[in-house]
Amino acid sequence: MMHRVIAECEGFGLERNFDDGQTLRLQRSYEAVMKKWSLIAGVGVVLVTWILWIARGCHTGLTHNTAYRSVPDPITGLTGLVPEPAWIPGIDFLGWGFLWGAVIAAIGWIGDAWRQASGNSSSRKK
Amino acid sequence: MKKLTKQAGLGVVVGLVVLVAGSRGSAAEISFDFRDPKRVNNVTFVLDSDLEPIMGVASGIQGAVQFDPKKPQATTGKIEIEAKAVHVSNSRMLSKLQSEEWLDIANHTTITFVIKSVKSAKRVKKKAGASLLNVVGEFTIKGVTKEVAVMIEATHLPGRLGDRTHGRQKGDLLVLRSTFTLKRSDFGLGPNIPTVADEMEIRVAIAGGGAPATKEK
Repeated sequence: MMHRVIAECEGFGLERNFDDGQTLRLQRSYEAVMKKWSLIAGVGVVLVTWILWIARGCHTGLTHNTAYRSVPDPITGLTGLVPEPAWIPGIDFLGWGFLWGAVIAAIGWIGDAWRQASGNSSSRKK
Repeated sequence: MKKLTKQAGLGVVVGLVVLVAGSRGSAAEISFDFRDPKRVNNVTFVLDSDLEPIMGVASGIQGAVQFDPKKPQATTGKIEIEAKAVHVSNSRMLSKLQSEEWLDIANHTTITFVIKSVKSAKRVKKKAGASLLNVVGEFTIKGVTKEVAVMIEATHLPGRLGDRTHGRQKGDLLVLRSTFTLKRSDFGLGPNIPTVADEMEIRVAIAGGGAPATKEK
């Protein structure tokens, strides 16, 4: 019975008032906090990657570290191309950002699964 | 007698003028130096690939072309590009390009084009001083030399070198423009993979300055 209440409380938050005037304070489990924050961090990484990619011109090629500045010469009619350092993120940046976002988001679940697995194995030993 | 001497003197003067003019005409070949402190000269290459066209720019161009505005078919010369000055906009791709597999810049420091002969030359009607040259030359990349035939538009701009150098040097300008294709497999450039095209388009846009030898004296 108590177990069921705790499970419900975890779904609603850290504190719940009961009709009999008692308050049940619950500290969220380490795993739940990890899951929440790893998900937030993962989504954050994906969003930042995506915003940067859009802000720098939605380049669909590979990331460029150089941009070429045009130097026109009115006498000859030629236009020189002078390389200058620049950062134009491409789809490789987007891909890596999304991959890292997914990995970070999954850390909480992976940790939880690993903990559960190790807990089960230690209880089996007992 | 006096009249006769006067006529003879006039004849000598006319003869001298004709001789000088004639000697100028025959020595009208100008050696144009293609070193480029203004960094306007460039050779670009475009190579198609699955993801995006790979574009590279080569600066560090030097060399000399001997060009006679009256006899463009007699053009000869050599243009050199520093292999390490070939640049692409992605740093990983650049290190790949400079590696042994592609340009091998450690062992092959220059890319050269030698103008061996001009098969034909014709004036470009709508462009003053421009000639279209059908050039046979030797292209050397990564130590491999291949004979290629390319069309080059050569535009002679007489007396314009001073405009470019703020009066420090006097002479003419020669602008060379050309677009042609090479097969990278012919020069052993990169692996034979279907994701990167074998044909690469080369675009040349370079200018050189030079003064006629007779004027320098």
